[in-house]
Amino acid sequence: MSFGKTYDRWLLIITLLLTGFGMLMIYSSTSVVTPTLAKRNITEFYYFKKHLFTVAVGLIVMFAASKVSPALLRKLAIPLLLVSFVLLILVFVPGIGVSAGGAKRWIRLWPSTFQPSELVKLAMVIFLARFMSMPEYRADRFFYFFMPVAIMGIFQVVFLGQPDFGAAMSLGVLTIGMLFLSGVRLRYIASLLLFCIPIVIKLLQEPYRLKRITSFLDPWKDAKGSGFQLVQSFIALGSGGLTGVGLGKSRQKLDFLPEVHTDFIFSMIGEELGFIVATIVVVLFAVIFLRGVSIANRAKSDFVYYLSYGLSMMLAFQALVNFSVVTGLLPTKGLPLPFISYGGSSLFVNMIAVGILINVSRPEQEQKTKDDLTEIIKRKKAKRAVYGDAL
Amino acid sequence: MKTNGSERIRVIAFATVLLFLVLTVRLLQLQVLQGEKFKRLSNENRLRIEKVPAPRGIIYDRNGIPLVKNSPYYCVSLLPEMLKKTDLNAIAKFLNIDAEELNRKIENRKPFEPIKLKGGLSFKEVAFIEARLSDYPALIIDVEETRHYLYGKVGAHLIGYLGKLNPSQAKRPDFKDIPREAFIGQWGVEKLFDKTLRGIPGKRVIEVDALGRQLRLLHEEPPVKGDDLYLSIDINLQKAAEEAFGRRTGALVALKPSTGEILSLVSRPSFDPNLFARGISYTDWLRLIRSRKAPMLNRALQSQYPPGSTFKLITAIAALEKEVIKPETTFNCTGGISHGRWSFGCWKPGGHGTLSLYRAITESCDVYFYLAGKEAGINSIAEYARQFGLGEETGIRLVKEKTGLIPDKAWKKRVKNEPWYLGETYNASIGQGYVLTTPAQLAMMISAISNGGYIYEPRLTRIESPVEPVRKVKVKKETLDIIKDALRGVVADEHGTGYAARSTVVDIGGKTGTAQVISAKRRQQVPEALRDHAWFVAFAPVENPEIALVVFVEHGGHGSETAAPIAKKAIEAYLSPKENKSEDR
Repeated sequence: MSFGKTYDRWLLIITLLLTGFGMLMIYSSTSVVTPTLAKRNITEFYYFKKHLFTVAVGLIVMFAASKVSPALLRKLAIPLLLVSFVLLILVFVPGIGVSAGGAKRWIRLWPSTFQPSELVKLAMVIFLARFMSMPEYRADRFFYFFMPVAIMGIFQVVFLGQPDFGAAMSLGVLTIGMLFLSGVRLRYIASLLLFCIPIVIKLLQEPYRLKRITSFLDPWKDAKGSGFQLVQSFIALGSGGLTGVGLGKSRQKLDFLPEVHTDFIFSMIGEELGFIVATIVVVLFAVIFLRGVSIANRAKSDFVYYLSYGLSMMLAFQALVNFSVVTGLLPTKGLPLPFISYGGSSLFVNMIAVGILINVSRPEQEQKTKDDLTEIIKRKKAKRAVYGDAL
Repeated sequence: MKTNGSERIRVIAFATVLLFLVLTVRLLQLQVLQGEKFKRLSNENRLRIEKVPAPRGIIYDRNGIPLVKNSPYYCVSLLPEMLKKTDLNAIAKFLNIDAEELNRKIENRKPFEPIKLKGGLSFKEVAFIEARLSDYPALIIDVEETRHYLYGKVGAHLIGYLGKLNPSQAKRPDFKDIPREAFIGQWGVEKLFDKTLRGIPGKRVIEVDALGRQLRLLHEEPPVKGDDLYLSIDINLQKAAEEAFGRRTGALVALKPSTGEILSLVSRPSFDPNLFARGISYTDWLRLIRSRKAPMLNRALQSQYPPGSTFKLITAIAALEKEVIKPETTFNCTGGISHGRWSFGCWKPGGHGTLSLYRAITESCDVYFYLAGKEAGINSIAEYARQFGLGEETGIRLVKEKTGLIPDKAWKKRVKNEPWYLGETYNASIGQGYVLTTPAQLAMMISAISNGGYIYEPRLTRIESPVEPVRKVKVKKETLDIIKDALRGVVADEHGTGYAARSTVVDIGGKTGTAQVISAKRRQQVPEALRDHAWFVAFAPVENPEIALVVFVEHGGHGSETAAPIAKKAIEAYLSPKENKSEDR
């Protein structure tokens, strides 16, 4: 095969680098069996083994995604959105849905669980790309602005019911970001502020809600309660200094920092490996974003253009939110760090996003001739018809 | 289509890259610039968060005499973060506590939350532990406050006590901010006004070194003392009243007729709230709840009995208001009347002869009220009883009140599905039969009779400005004046049944009552457990009443013998010259 020279190699390399690095850090964060874990019969390799399996499946998923032609993806846009919606609703079905910590965000999926909200982000990006690339799409018409916002609103209602404010926020920013990109009038976007009025009123009426949201601004105030996680995250990052305390030597992972292998893994990276490595991780995510932008700018069709931008924004946004949370710039929301955090749903979806980006990074002719899965199958069938079982 | 977009993509791309840059700067700030500070916290230092309890508000009586005091209370706690494994058993041993249980507590706690090991340490014990602190840095000695109830059993039912947050309260949102080990009001005024008295605990975030020594105060919020509370009760009256009861069981409720303030609320026997101040022991608790005399029962609000002759006032008011009798109407008492097969006797075997309303009240003639009640009818009697607050909760929220019972024809139809019989009217007219009242209800009644018919909301706290009555009973002033004049006679007249309440200090009006326990003729000779209950309702001074009260003595026999003297002592304690009162304690 000769397409090897034309796809975006850097994107693939950085993705694999971050994923591999994530495996290392997950091992580091979970290999110390604290008394709390020992009580749950969790051993040194427990999380690492599970994650290894997740990564293997993730790579296959990425490869498969890179073989799906944009034309097929375009056809799949609406079914995918519907499927993601159904999965999201299944969260509420007893027996299928799994709840933890008062939130219903997962569905049972042997041997683990799946978080449909991750899939929703991807499905929304693909759907929006298709919607905006329709010939009749007019960015200056309110109708074309209102439609996607209404669809997003339906998802938002479900998210708030779970509740999953992190997912609601991500989907909102992603949708508005893509609409902004397509050139909708700014006053349409401004009109969405009307929706914020009831929220503001509610916050003013019930100041404790506001207090809960703004408690991240001064975590020391309630260092044992609501601010505990953030204070511990600060201690982790801060004690890492420039070069870190050394791989595997984090103290904060010893039961002090909750969710150290998932949402707060970046704090431990900062503690063990220091500012320099942490900054490299940040830069790598920025590079992923910029590769995505450059792929988009080379796109030959509107669909691919919006798709690439949407996916790059999705990846960059998740990373940015996660970084902001652990450094205390945003209130604590349950959002994992792409490629690095433990957890399959996020990894699969982000791998698919990278797979799609890699595919569309190739010149369009090659995509058409070589990658259209249906084409390939057709051709193989034709060959088989000619040569029979001799092949 | 992309034309507009290409400009916007630059905005988004630029903004995103800028955000990545901001994050890098934030990392630089947290990791490199402030890194030393956090490294110190992480390495050899740990955080310790201490709750600083807020001093609880003091409870005073209406004259500003303190009823409670906060005293220091030493306890030793353990901070498991500082614990070396080998220490646990040694600590458990020298503090004489169960190591297993301690281990369980350590596993179930939140990070950096000290575990209380032992409270109420003596100075000797404190010194003993203090000397070992350097060996066991995980131990902390705290000084907390405990509540001391200065008057002990006096007023315990009203003042109440503190207790630990119980598991069902711990789940409720209004107790969310209260630490698990904290004591809150669990009974009486301490519970009702807990939010006022509680205050806001302060907090200290302290940096400590590996030996538990405090290095630095990172953050401090001083506690806010709870508000003081001025009760409506007069502690000297309360004390005098409780002493007057002696060993007798019963209740007393005294109200200020012009405001509804509760001047005294007695329920005997009482209990010592100091037993509860730091958690009552299991044996003490069993002793209290298993006692045959039920000291935890608030008899002022939770016991209901036939009001006996005190109810004749209601019958008299109903008959006068319905104009079926006049004050000068006379009936002839021959010692009883008969109705069909039944006979209804007067307490005075030979009868009172011909008498008018005034003498009927002062000498408590049963026959007069049988006949007056028959003329008025049960429904009118019930109507006026309810107007005076009988048969319903008074609204004193100390405990779950009994409602009492005022029967009428509709009630009997509903509950027993039987018609009302005249004989039952006879019984009800003299406060026997179905009629039931609590002491607090009768206090409301006598207060309203004495103040011209105004019903006030009963209050536990001192009133600073005049209050409006809840309602006025629909009774003419002349009617109440007739009743009040007769009530003065009950105490003042030579043949008055309340003669035992006569005071040289003040002019008292009152009415005796007896609640029958068994209907035997010779009640005085039966054992005490079967003897009648005694009532006395009173107010003073008659002209411009400052106090209205009810005395209820369980198995006290006739009201004139046991209840009236208690009422007299209580009234004199309240109205006699108040010198040096606030210096008593």
